[in-house]
Amino acid sequence: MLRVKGISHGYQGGPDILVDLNLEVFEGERLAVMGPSGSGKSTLLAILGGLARPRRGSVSSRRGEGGIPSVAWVLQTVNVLSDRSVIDNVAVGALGGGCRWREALSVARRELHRVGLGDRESVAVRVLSGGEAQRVVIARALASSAELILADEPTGQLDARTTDEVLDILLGAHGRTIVVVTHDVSVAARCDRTLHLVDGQLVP
Amino acid sequence: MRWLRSEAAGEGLRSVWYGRGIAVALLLSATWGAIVPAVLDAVMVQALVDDERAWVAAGGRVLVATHASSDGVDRRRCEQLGNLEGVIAVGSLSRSEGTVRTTSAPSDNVALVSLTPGAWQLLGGVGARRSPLAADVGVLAARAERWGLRDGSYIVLSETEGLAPGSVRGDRGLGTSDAPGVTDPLRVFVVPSGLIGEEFSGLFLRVAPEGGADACYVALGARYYEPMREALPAILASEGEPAQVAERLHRGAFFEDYASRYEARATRWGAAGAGVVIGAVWLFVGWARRSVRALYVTLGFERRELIYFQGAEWAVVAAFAVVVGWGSAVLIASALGVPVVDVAPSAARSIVGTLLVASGFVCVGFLMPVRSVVEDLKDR
Repeated sequence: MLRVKGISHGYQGGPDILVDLNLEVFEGERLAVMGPSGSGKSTLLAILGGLARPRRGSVSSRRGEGGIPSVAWVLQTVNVLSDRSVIDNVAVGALGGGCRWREALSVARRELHRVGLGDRESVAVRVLSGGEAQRVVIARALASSAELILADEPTGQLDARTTDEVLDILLGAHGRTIVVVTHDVSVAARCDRTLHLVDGQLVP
Repeated sequence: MRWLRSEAAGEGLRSVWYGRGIAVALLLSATWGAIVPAVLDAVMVQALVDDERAWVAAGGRVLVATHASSDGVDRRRCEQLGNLEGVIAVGSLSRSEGTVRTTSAPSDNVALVSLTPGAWQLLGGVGARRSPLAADVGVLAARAERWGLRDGSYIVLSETEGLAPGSVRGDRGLGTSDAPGVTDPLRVFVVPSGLIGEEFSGLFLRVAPEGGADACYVALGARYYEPMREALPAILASEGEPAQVAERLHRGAFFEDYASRYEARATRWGAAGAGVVIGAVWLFVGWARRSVRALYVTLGFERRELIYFQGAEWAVVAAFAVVVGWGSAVLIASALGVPVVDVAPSAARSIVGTLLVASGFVCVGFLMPVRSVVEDLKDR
């Protein structure tokens, strides 16, 4: 689905934190990327999602070089539109797929039921707990038609029980390719494949 | 697949609708930013207009032509100046040598001043509330007050003294020779301005534009003043001699050049300044909400969608500022004494100017690079 070839990258004139890195992400797989803080995990994710451009190397997909698949994000810090309702936050994910607002609301309702928040669609998202808010973000990712879900420490701020609930939902999304960056071994254990980022290179 | 343009714009509208504090702050800053310079400028311009009207009413744009010949200025030629472009009012005046008394103030000897029909407008000043009738007798406001007369009151000339037979003969046959000393009641037209000045004071009676007059008064529009000042000596020349032309109010060191004052008024650039402030607030809010923008980028927004999104937000803010700002500016300025007919168009111009300048900043915001979505997201 996605092929990363010889990329190197660093920030603001500093040394490269990713060095001649190669990676292939296969369709439908759940890939975990582990590594210490500052090793460049989030940077790698940003490059995979097209939010950052590598200094050297290329990212290609079946759409060709530079063409990345449609992407949905689940981040460590809960990224929600805090002034909006739960259903609005999910519906905007569906809008990215090119549908209209009314249709997006319908999709959002379906995904909120899937993540167990069907009865809270009208609630302001700012009053939700951290775990609930993260479920909203996952529902948003699922509501989008994105082929690839990129998750950066999706359970980093959650307790153990909530982590399990969130992972059940996220990793249970059938037909989606998921790349998860995590410190948590238990999270990685639930993925199909785990790679470690060491000295700017990915190793099994 | 990507966002529909209409949905990107719709998301901008929803962003304002649900934006709570930030949306309210943006709406209020844009609206007050539109109101304040519009009101200040309207009030400042009105003060200038009032000053200029008072100055004009006092004879600020009046030329006085006299002629050294024994006949004075030709009344008919003076009156005909009224056909020229830029001449607001014109008329000739002559003092009688004798005096009259009236039944209203039998102890006062008052001079009679004869004037041609056009001079009635001069007496009323530009924009007089009513036009005097041919048979009216003009009485300066101060004298009318002293005699207890109001506009429309009637007086009777009771005695004349020293008036040569036929020296004053009104359109209605007011007699100072055939039946000296007594007239029918004459309706009073109170002259509200001092445009004529103290040189001619007394009772003003209308006469036909025939023969010569002591002076020809010409009230002019602002841009016609100087050209007419140059041309008038030749126009009213007689017996090969040019007329002498003087300014009713001398333009000395304290002359008020209202056109320059209007151009140099401090509030002239207020609208643009407010536009800069509103634009700066908009850019600051955009910077403060950069993580929201970054979030939309993760939802598939590219520059095109960001432009539709922010364009819709700005459209709501600008439309609110135009409607509420204009209405409020008109209300406030009219409460401060500016006529609605004056403030309505000037406030509209000011507010549109403000928002056009601010829109420039909004467009700059469209062009600003999304710094680094990754960093912006980390700012959350």
